[in-house]
Amino acid sequence: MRTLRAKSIAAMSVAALVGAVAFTGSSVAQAATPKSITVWLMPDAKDFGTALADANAAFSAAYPKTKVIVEFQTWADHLKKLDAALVAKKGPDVVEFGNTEVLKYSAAGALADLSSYKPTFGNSATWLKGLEDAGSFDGKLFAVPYYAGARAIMYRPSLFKAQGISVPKSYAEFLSAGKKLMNAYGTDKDFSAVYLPGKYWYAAMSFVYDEGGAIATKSGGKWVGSLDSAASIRGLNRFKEVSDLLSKADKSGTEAAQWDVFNGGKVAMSYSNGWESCCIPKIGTDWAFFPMPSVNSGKASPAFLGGSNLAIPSYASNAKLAATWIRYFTNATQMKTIALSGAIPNNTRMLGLISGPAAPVAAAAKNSWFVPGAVKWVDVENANTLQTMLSDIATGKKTVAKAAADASDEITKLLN
Amino acid sequence: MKRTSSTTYSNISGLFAIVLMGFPVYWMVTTSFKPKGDILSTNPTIIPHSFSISNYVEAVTKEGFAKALLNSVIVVFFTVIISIIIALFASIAVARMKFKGKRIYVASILLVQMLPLSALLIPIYLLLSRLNLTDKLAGVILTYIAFVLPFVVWTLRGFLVNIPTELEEAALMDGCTKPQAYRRVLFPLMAPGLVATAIFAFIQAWNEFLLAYILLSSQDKATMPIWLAGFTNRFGTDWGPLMAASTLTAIPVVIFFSLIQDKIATGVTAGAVKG
Amino acid sequence: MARISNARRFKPWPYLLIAPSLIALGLILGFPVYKLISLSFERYGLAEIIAGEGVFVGLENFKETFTDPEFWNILKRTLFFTLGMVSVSIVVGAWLAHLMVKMHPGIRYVLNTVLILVWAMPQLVSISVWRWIFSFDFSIVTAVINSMGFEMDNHNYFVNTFSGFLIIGGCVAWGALPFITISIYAALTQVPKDLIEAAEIDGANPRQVFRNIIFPMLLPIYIILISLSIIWDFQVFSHIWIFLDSRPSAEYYTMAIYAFQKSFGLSEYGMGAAISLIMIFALVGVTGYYLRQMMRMGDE
Repeated sequence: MRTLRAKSIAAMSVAALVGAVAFTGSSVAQAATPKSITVWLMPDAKDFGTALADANAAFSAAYPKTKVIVEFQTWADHLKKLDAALVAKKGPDVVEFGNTEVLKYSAAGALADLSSYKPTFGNSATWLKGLEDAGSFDGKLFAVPYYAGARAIMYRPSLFKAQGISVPKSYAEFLSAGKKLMNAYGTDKDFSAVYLPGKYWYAAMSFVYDEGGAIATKSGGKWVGSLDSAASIRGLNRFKEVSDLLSKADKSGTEAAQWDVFNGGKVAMSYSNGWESCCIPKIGTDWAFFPMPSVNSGKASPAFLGGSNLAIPSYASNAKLAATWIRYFTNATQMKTIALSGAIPNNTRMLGLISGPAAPVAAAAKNSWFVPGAVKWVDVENANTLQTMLSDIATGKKTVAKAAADASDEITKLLN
Repeated sequence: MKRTSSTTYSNISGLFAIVLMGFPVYWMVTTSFKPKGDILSTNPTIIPHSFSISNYVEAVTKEGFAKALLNSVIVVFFTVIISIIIALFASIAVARMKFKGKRIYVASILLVQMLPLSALLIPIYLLLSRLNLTDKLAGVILTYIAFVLPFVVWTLRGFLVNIPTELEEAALMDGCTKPQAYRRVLFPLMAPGLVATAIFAFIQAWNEFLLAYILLSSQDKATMPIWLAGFTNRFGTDWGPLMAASTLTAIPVVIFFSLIQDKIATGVTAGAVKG
Repeated sequence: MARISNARRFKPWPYLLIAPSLIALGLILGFPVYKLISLSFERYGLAEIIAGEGVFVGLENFKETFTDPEFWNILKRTLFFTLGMVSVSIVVGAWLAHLMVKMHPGIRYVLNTVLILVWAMPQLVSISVWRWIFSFDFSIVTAVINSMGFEMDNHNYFVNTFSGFLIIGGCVAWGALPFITISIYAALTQVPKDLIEAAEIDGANPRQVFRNIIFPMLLPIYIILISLSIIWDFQVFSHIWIFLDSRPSAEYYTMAIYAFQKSFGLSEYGMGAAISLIMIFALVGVTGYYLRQMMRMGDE
């Protein structure tokens, strides 16, 4: 009896396993009638008010037979999941990419060519150049601009007022404002007039682009690292100057938690995203933004344009419908909601919608820089070339000229 | 005399270990009660000076908490039960029987243990997608079973070989059948090992993120780790509610296992005395 | 006795007993492992994924890896790091487990609970907490040192790779301790008390009791724990990744980070597969001694 029972349990578990396979193996892919389209978005979309719900409602009203399934992904791992979907040739119909992530996929032919749909997308004539460039490859559009993020200087008006400083209009004024603050509060060893971590490359490269330099330039079909050009080195010297004189931030650290440091109350200025004002409760309302001033008085230095694009994987059989959904989600109505929630809309026409203290951040999006459009740029990011160079400069491990020359050589090597 | 001094030493070292091991846990728990602006303080203190349950409210009321908890319980329950049963069979064969091909079986089990999960992600996805098992908890359970099995087989075997064969042989001579002998003599003695391995399988399945994330796509299939990942957006992580949710999910695990651990420890000593 | 009489005819029992595990493993891992091996001989990047098939390149992926001068440094670093973490976690785990036997039950209960709590913390959370404890701006360690009257500046513990790896390794060992301690403790409770008492009555001193009774019974568990720890610690990824802000610099590269950057960072899955196979070979080499012991044990 007992033996029999044990045996039959063993047999049953085998049968259950085999059965599970036999059972599920039979129903293979469904026919291509678009009963639904699947959209992969990042959780950030939940902060954009009713934009997503409104877009889905409008889409469903126009296409009542197609259900929109939104699945939220994680920034850290969404590309692994996308790669898996690409291998299986089945997965989402619309995918959100960070704008630095798209190029690799466009170049590999993983995304559907959306050039012919371009005129149908709202505001496509005034799209932010940084986002449009990020979504384009070889003159074709592969990913539609969705929203952007830019950086400006977040500062403490109370400290400025106490020291009689007005908002700086040039780099020189910025530097002298910082020195004044350091003189006044620098006895506290943790106080930074400008919180500038050594590996904060978005900030450092803004100095470089402001001086007319660049990370790399394309000449004769070949990418050449250009951080060692005279203009770039001038920019890197600005970075070094601010880091040395005005910052007590970690010379070997990143900006990953800079708003928490700002929240600690020992920072007068930091180069911040517009949304960072959300997360400094101890500062209360004692914050405001101004665009990072340029070396050319009266102008702003170019800001790095982060953001997201929406694309359609090349396997999607419902590309047309998916493009239609993108149209609903990026039209002027939704962009307005997104702008009012504090993110930067995908076009220059609507930048003015962002008002109040964060308006300078939106203005910064007009004048922006973006990473070199080289397919192998991701290699440079993976190799930490820029961060290593900057922390070598900030800590004084290498001179500006030496660090820049080394980084430039490495970039040339990696990009070609 | 000697015994008391070594007990004192053990107790002091134990307290020391509790403090050192427990500090990060303490930090998680106290962080979960800090209001937003105090979480990453530039001026941290060991004893928190502010208290708020808003993180807990935020965590529990966040969409999908109950569903994710339920999904995780389902996944963990089946992973643990099935893998322990399958592994128990296999470990008895490996520890107690001679058979042809045992070496190959043992070797392959060991090699499976070395497979880096990340390298297999995409092939597994491809396989399960062909079997139509993606976006199903069953697919995740099957995969988890495959990944914890080698470990469970090995550890159970390790606990099994410690039990003298004479005990079963005596039972067999008393007229027990082999399964009876296993059930009455072996299993009670294996109990601590079973608990240790079950906890292992439990926590592996409870905390695994990457496979579940790749294999599951619907929001209502999300397991706890996937749900927890929802507190992170492109700008960073909302630590307060994340710590609160992590504390909440740790509590049932601890209660459950401290209960069975106690039960089984007494069961074992009782059995050993009788034996 | 029973064994001899049974050995003559074919016994289906052992095969029936291992069949479910073989089916489960074969079903889920058979195809992926085949795929892993075949991918290691292919160029399989995004373009090939889209085309639907890889390009056979023979041993090219392996050659590229072995000729990368960084590879050997990374392998060496990974081995040292693994060795350190394994020895610390096994020694401390064994020490704790042996103490637990003698401890006051109340303290043991609390310690057990703490161990389970440590284990139950989601990895992201536990590593992040460790990271805060040793961060530049928010470190409780620096703050405590300062509050004791020392003037310590904010300190980046990761500029020096030695202290960096010490902290990361500490976090790994801390996370591994619950499993190791609980397993050894479980094995210790299996040791029949009457056997020890009988030995003590016979005049055996504690050392003899340990060597002749406890140690042989614990050996299988130790071998399993050591080899599993080697396998796990060799593959440590998340700790380094999270501690260093998802951007570990070259001096923090271990095999797992290297494989990740080559495969997922660049979507070069053929390369990734080759490095993974190399990692498995390296692991077989490192754990060779223990594996042979385990095989022998599994064979007896």
